[in-house]
Amino acid sequence: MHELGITQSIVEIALRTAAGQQAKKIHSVTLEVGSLAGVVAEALEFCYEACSQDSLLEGSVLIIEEIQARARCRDCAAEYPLTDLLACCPVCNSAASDLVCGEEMRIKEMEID
Amino acid sequence: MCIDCGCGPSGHDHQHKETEAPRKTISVEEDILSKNNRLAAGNRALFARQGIFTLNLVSSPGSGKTSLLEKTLVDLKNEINFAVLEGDQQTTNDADRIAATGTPAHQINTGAGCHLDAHMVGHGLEHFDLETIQMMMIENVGNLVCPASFDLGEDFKVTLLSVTEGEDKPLKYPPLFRDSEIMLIN
Ligand SMILES: Nc1nc2c(ncn2[C@@H]2O[C@H](COP(=O)(O)OP(=O)(O)O)[C@@H](O)[C@H]2O)c(=O)[nH]1
Ligand SMILES: [Mg+2]
Ligand SMILES: [Zn+2]
Repeated sequence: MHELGITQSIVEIALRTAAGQQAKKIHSVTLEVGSLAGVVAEALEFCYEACSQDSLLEGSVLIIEEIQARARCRDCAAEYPLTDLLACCPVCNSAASDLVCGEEMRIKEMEID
Repeated sequence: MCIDCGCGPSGHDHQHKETEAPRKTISVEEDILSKNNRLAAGNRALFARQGIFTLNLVSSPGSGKTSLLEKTLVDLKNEINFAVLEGDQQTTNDADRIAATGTPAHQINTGAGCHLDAHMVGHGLEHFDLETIQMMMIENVGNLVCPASFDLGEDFKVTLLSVTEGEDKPLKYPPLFRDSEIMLIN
């Protein structure tokens, strides 16, 4: 359950960004989370509500956009969506691949006044 | 361009209602783990400067990380200068076991924490004379899930799997296995 620590980072970045913009209110914070980032959206939402209390973030909405992981085959260079972590290349059936994306966890944007 | 709503440069062809608070969307594009990643990069640079090769050992509790370290240290201590950072929620049992082999060891207790992070490791390193160390072994908190997301600044992540855990564990907990450069079956 490291979602709490991750949420504290989200709150820290969001409040710092809002202060830099002299925001009076934060309506929403949008995250981009890779399907392999290893966080549970429900747990993030739960922690967010708790961590945003008594701050400019209170009452704001956390929007989580999932980024589907993609892999590139080391043998034939085909790129394919990685729905199953141990999936093989759909072109040549090789199991050797490198991750193209899917582990990211970032704040994309915020809606503020 | 309207700074309130971000509409295009082609003139303002709509009104913002007086009563409606002006909302604007600002792009942030900041990595949520950026603090950990920045500290991990600092650790990595420190290891490189001191010529220290570093492994991050991860596994379920009880797979044999400390036992493997004890054996390795006893077998190789005349060839390589080791140091060991131990991570557990509580107790100094593992650091005591390592110290008994004659290797410098420091215990990090994470309390409620389920993994080591780069910040804890950075402070853990303050307990060693890095000049004299060639290889740093970091034993992470026993957990097959959370340590996957936290770079500590290591050269390689090593996942241990003991056979009694069941052969399907890489299927059940794939991220950590996928993230590791080395996997050992104990
Ligand atoms: N049978 C057997 N037991 C082992 C082996 N390696 C470790 N153990 C035992 O497994 C238990 C947990 O080992 P430990 O090294 O503390 O695991 P850690 O929690 O991953 O550090 C201890 O009682 C060890 O003596 C092994 O290769 N074979
Ligand atoms: Mg141990
Ligand atoms: Zn292929």
